[in-house]
Amino acid sequence: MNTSRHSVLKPIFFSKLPIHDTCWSITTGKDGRIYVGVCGEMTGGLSSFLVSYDPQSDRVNYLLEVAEALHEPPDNGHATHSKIHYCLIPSSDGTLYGATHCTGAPIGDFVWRPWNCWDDPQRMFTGFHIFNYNPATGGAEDFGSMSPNEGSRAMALCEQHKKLVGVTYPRDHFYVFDLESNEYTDLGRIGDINPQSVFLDKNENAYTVDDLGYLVKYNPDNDSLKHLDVRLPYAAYRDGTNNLIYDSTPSPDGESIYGVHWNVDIRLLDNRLFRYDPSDGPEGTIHDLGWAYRPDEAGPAWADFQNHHTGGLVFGPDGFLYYATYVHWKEPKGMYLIRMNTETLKREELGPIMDSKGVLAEYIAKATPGFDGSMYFASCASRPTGIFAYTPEAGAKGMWTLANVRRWG
Amino acid sequence: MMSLEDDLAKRKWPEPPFEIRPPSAGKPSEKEQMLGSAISEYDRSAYVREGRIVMRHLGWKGVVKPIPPGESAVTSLAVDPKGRVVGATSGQRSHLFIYDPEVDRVTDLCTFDEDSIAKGSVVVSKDGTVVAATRKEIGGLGSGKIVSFVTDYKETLTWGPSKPALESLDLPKKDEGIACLTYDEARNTAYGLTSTTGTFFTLDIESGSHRLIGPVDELGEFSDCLVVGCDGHVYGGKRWGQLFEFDPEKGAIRQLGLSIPSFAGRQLYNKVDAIALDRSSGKMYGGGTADGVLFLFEPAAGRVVSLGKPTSQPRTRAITVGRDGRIYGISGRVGGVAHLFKYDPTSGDLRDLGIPLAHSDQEWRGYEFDCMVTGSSGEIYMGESDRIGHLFIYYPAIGQ
Repeated sequence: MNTSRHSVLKPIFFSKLPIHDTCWSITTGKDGRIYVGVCGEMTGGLSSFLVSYDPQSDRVNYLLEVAEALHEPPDNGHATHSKIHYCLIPSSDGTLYGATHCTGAPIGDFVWRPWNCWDDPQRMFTGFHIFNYNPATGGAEDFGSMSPNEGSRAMALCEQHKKLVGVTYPRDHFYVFDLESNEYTDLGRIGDINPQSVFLDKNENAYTVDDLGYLVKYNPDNDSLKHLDVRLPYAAYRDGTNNLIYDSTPSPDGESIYGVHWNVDIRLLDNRLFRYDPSDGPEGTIHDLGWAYRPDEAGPAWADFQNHHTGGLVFGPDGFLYYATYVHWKEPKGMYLIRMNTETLKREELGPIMDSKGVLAEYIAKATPGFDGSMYFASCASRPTGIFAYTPEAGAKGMWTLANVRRWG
Repeated sequence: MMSLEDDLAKRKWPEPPFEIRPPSAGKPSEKEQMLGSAISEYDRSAYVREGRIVMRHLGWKGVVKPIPPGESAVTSLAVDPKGRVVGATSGQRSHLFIYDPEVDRVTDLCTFDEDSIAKGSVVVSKDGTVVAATRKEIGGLGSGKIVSFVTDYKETLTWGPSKPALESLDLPKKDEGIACLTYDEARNTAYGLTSTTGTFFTLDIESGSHRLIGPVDELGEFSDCLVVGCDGHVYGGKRWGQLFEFDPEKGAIRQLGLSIPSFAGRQLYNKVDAIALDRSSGKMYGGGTADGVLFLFEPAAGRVVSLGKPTSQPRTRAITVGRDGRIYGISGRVGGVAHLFKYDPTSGDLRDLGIPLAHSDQEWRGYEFDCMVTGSSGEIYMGESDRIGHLFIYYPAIGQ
């Protein structure tokens, strides 16, 4: 949808990758640069790329052709390592950890699904790699292929414990990769439909959810999984089925996690914001913060099966919670930037997220805070693909540091 | 050296099959519509579409907690005389549960062992006595258990909070668990193999006493499945895909000199993986571990026939004979993606039905299964043996 409105965000597109179509992962490195996993979701035979944006110089750098670096060339006939999903995480030593993901088709094919190709020795996905990228040297260390056939949907870094944890796709297994021993451990299946976020509390316990929205807690001290009785909120008229998490971000004080449901075309379900307080009670407490953004003009949520996707949760230096949500009830339809006062829960619509031609973003995946006071939102479903930067009017520049960047994808 | 950016500028990129456009931007091209239709069919085609599949949580959904993850791998199933399904799980604890089709829910009865495997080791006698047994992983503590209890023929709901009164039976070999059990209604006797040496034993259901017969294989290689034939003999597999029988009249094991099929050169890796009796014909159907080749075994004729390979996967982890006369089985390696297949003895049609996908109680793809049994109404029960296990129920298509 084209509009003549002025965008409140600055678009940054990766024009050297004209066929790539999605940016699933975004984070901020210790050097203050914004790092993005540029992915090829809809065209066979593509590699994912690691790209950076330097807010200081306003320059994009193309850093790494990931699949080639991992010796998984995109034209080898296998499903491609064409994505870094929610699996790009900064380390305090300045490097970045990443994991590759599947669903990109083999070269020449127009579709690929893991179930259809599981036992196909040619078209199968060889299994996600975990790697470490050092921006200072430009070198990538490949820790190898972890689990044949599977991709890594979401990942978190338990830095004090020197472990990466995540969930695989499609079998939805929880995994642990020990960075000291290079040992991969599969802790088994946790659900059927992938949760889209694995988040940490301040003690580096990791959390995600099962298909009914119950929290699954990983303890990095003993590598155990526990299924909690704490559950993501859901509307009273639902039974909590497919109550999955999409995005999550820590509060500025690190005591709480703010999150939102996964709600997109194939999962037209709840779209509520919630806050999880891990230390409130033996298993923590979930607080329902209501529908992410739904003014009265949108009508009752139960009456439609529209796209309500919300993503890109990030706290600004002004203390507001920012996120992007799909607005379908008015023109122009597309992703809009919202900010919420977490004390009053009041939402404010800041405007559509659109490029310089007035084309609205169709999907915002995740976001990251910049050390320059801006926030950066990863966009999907455009060619070329890119990110959007938003600078609050009263931004406290330089307030954020690496400590404010979440250690999960 | 050329920079990546310079290199990218010279790339020839693959042609995208679809244009990206917002929903409001008009119709896709004719080619895109064709590809879109193909993708829609492709997405559905991996899953079982012939017949219907549901799954049930191992506990009354929304009322009680199901058997927890890590304890819920369903690895044994048997049907009692009332048509109820009795099952056992493997994992950190082994549970006994019962599914009553009349009320359509699972009741977790009790736990009966820890860090245990209860695979193919539940039988129900004609008077409703359940015998369940376990073994340990290699290197695990202890050897296993064998217990029995009498099912209460009142409705499942009357179990309430009370647990069945389990009676512990002596293990046939005290330092070994139980690899598998089978049951002969005519003799009211269970037969089994011990878990380490593969020693064949008989178990009198009424008295609970056992009798050791001896190892079925000189090298200690054996299959963890047995089946009672229409002739009352017990059949099983040993090393390299060979078959043996136990004659209860003679009380002796006999090597049959028959081997089940595998791909060429792979007989050393082959053992009977699962086997089931067609009571109407006396024929048996099974599959091998090495390559998942389906076979027909006719004890009366003393022959084995290869029926082919239903999927591209190894293993035949479970098999049962349906009330429709067709054979249903599960193939797929551990850690893979299971496929349900069927064989029609009348037409000879051997067909991969696809990945089991249930939409009720919950959308759930079944990837791991290790047991199957046919219900009293022709429904097929499949024990999901993943970290989170469920009871899958497959309703074969009628009139095909």
